[in-house]
Amino acid sequence: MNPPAESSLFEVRSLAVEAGGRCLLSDLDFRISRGEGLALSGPSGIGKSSLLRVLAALDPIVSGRIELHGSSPADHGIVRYRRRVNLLFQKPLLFEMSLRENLALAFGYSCCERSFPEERAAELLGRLGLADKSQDADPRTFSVGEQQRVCLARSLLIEPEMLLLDEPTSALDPESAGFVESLIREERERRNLAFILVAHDREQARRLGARTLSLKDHRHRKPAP
Amino acid sequence: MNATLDVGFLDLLLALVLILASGLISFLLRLELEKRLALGAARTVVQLLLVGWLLKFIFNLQSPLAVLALLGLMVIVASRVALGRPSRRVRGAGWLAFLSLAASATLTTFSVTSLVIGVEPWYEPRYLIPLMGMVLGNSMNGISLSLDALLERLSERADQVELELSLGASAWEAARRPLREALRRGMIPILNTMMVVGIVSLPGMMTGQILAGADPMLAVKYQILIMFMIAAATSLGAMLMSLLTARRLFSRDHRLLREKILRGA
Repeated sequence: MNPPAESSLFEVRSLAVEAGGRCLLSDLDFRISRGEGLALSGPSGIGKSSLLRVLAALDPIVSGRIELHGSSPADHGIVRYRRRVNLLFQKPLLFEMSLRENLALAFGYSCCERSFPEERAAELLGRLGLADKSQDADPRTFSVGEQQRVCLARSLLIEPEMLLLDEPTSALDPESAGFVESLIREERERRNLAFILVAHDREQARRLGARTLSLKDHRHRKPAP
Repeated sequence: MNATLDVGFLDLLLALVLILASGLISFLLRLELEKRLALGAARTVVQLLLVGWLLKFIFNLQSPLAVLALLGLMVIVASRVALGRPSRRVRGAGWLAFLSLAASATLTTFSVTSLVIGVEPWYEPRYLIPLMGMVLGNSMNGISLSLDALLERLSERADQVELELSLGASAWEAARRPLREALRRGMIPILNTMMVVGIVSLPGMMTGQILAGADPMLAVKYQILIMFMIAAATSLGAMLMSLLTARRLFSRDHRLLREKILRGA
């Protein structure tokens, strides 16, 4: 069931996706409302990650339109837009700094007016099973699963309206994957967090209650000569 | 400086005998270095004689235009050498290197010759050309090292840069870490030199001056001036080059343009 237009948080219209000068996907149209999850499916190489990069404004829009609350990323200001529609990378990316400094990274940029929310950080770490970690520890010494949990906490701290999840648990141990999935589910219920997921299995989309969009029908075909 | 002992061509021939002796040793031991040694010796003689002739010519001309033309040529050559054999490159870097070198070397050289030494007239080639040469030689290395480091960081750790962008960093904020690293790399040689100058080795210019009969204290004062000039020019050049390059590698909408970093030749 499509939500009514006014509750639409995010909308993609006639979007085409290119990678390395080659058009991968075209004529993409979809809409996501607050608190909704969308899983992208399709064979590997079809352009799922490239699509997420375009949605995250890390790659340019070749043709078509992306709208958040009815305005384009440029209208929001790309820098601010990226915080509202935030990409969680597939590989955990952490800097050579303490856990606390890594979490506070996004609060040092000039676009950020808020100060680092200590309590919320502690709460998120607790819910991700990382309460016993010292905030002074170097998180790069953690297991990969723990590192990815730190990255999820870092993303959630900037309070995005939508998360772009690029196979967020593909490299994780079952315990970490469980923590990540349950936090996303909870944030969706409590804070109306929306997400677009590239899942590494169908089950994950079901567990997260995301509807599925197959990209197969959008694979770009060269127009007949 | 009347104490300078003249070196005659006969004396140079004597030095050549020493080279010939090394060549003979190489031949006897089959080190196969004779050819390279001969080529090196020949190039040294030819290149330096040409430079000597050119300098003499320019010194005699006493024309500001000729001096400026030579300085311009020196900057062009230095910017080509600075981009010599990089592992990665960016289109248009030649221009950026030229700009950075020209700005940093001109600024430091002229502020020393006109404000500190008070050279009259301002284009006096006896001061300008050797000073500019020394500054360029060092600044060129700084530029080359920092460009290499910057491109390495921006391509090999592109994911970290994009992570910062995704968290709300502006292009400048995301470039900060790679820039810091690049400048550090570019400044290391001159910082190391300043740490040990006079202890490990005497700088070439100072040695030359003392050999040429100058008062050691005067030579030292000149050397301090030179070291400061070189340090200033190196950091200025490396900064300009890194900032200009970083500006090319980010789009206006704060995206990292990875595709602009090309593999080296």
